[in-house]
Amino acid sequence: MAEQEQNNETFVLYSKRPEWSDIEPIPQYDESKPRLISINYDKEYTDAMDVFRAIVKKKEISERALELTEFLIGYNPAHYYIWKYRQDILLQLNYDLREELQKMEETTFDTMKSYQIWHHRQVMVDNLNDPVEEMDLIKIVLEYDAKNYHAWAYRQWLITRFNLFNNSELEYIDELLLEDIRNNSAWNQRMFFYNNRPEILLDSDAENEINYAIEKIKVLPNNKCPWSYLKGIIKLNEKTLLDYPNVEELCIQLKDDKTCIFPLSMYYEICEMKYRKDPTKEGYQNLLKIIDELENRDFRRVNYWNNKLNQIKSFNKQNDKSFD
Amino acid sequence: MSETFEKHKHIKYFERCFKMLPYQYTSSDTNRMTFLFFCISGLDLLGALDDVLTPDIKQKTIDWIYAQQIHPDPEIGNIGQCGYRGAPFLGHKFEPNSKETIHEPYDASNLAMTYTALICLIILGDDLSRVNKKAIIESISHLQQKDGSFSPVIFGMEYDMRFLYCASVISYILNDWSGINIDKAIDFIKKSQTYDFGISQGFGLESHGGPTFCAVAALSLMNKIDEGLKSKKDTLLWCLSRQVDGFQGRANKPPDTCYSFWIGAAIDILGGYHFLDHEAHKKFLYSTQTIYGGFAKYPEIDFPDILHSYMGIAALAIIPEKTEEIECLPQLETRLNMSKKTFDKNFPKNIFWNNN
Repeated sequence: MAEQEQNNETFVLYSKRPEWSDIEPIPQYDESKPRLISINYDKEYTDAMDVFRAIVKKKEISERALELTEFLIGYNPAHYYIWKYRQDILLQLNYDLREELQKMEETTFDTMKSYQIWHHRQVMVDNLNDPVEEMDLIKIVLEYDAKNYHAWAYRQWLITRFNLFNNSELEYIDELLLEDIRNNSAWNQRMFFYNNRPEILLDSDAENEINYAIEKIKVLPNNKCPWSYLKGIIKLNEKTLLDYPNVEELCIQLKDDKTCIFPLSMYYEICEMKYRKDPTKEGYQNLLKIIDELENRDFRRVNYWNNKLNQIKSFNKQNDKSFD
Repeated sequence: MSETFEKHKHIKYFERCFKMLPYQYTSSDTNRMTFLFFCISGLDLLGALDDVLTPDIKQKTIDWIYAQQIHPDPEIGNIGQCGYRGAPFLGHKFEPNSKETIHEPYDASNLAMTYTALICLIILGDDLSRVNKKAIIESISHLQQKDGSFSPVIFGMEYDMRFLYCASVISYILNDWSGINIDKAIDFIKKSQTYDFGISQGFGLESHGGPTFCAVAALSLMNKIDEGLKSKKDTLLWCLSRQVDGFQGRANKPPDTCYSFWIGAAIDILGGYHFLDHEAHKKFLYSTQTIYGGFAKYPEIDFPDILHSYMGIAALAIIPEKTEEIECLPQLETRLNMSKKTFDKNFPKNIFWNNN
């Protein structure tokens, strides 16, 4: 944007425009000398900000002020004061907020990692009291960056605000996971859906979801997301890993693949739960064996697993029958 | 690019930033206070603050910070606007000693700016005697939302875990928690813990390194870790699982310099730092240093930015057993994100603590 303006030879500074001649620009008084943390602004930005300061001071609500905010947002899409000013103008002049949403599409795509553009859309939609086409716009953004946190936050807000808990959301998540099975944002959205929809989770829903995760694990076992999802759904259904023998079966089936961490670490969790309930010698020795293997495979966390080992050993010592 | 810590290049980098930032930073015009914090705390961690800032410049910097303070308006009072601006971008006169602020449209403090202003003042050795504590605490209570989270400024719909952290640091430094409904804040933190025990920016969102640090540090400052975390050990394991060589901010994302601080600091507060693979971690961080000094987000990026530069250094300062190349770095007071040595030296000057 900045370069574009500079290349445009016909660009006239705001303070030099006849339609702004009634305004006395206000400079930024930055009287620390030497100046500190100064930004080497383009002169077009400095000039427009000088005019902006003057009209904000008198809280001018006008077409020209609206146009000025658009220009400044081009330079500084994170300037939340300018956004707030723009919102006030739009609302007070009864602008068509749908039109504003369309107008800001390009800015959204250009600055999708900035909080403010999403916040602006949220304010517009909240005032419209209508989700308009925003869910579709988010889809486009997620095509560029399927893990964009702001887009997901906005999507969740829309779904909650307008009760959009439809099965189409599950279908959409499924599409995203077919594209990238490791997309944790999509997995999280699936949990958001079940955790926040008005209907309660039935045993049958939980089983469906567990089977869904198991299928995805079979496609790519060394992917943390479905393993976390599996545990999350079981907890949401107020059960434990021990209530689902098919999960243990899955772990046993996959745990010997040395390139994978997660089947073995969940198997460890299941075995530890069983051992703490019923401390047998076989159980104890099995845990030591699993930890030894996890120290090899999950080598970044060797100290963590070593600490686990010590915990298990001291639990064993506290028992009447020590198996060491 | 490098295989060791480039201390001197980093000092030069922050020295340059302190004077002038390139025009690309225009989009952060409202956040200059945070950049001041990165420079000052960065130079302090590198042991170069006194070399780069003469006593005169330090005093001028302190005055600049105070000039950003918003006091209650004599007529309308405190409507949640009090605290610090990020810069004088709304055209205010340079008045570092004022005790009231005539309210003007859109003039409002931002919690992140108030937080970084206070930390800068402490690092610069100020006793906080010009800080309008009463006004700030009152404004904080205006900024807390029904769900327990905080909005950064009095207008808007943006609120999440970041500003709950800022409000907590401010309350801690000013030694007054009366602006925060702590039960609600804890409730918000609890509800933001996800099914994998990481912490998100708000209900339903994905667990993420940034809010995980914010929540854990805020709870620690409140002395409420056990009440606020559903399972401390599982949150710690979530954090430890983010180490690839450096740290990723979310599951299955690439490692990024700043998460070495966000996640590393959370792990430190939770007491698990000794579980990490320090060598791999340092090697990653050294690889994100740039030839211009400073750190980039990823190893393949050639240019530094001020946030990642600061976070890279702060992350290295957390490491308890310092190898030779980082021996110069002091321990970090991780909850406040500043040098522990400076904190120990300067915090007793803080009039809001020593008068008690």
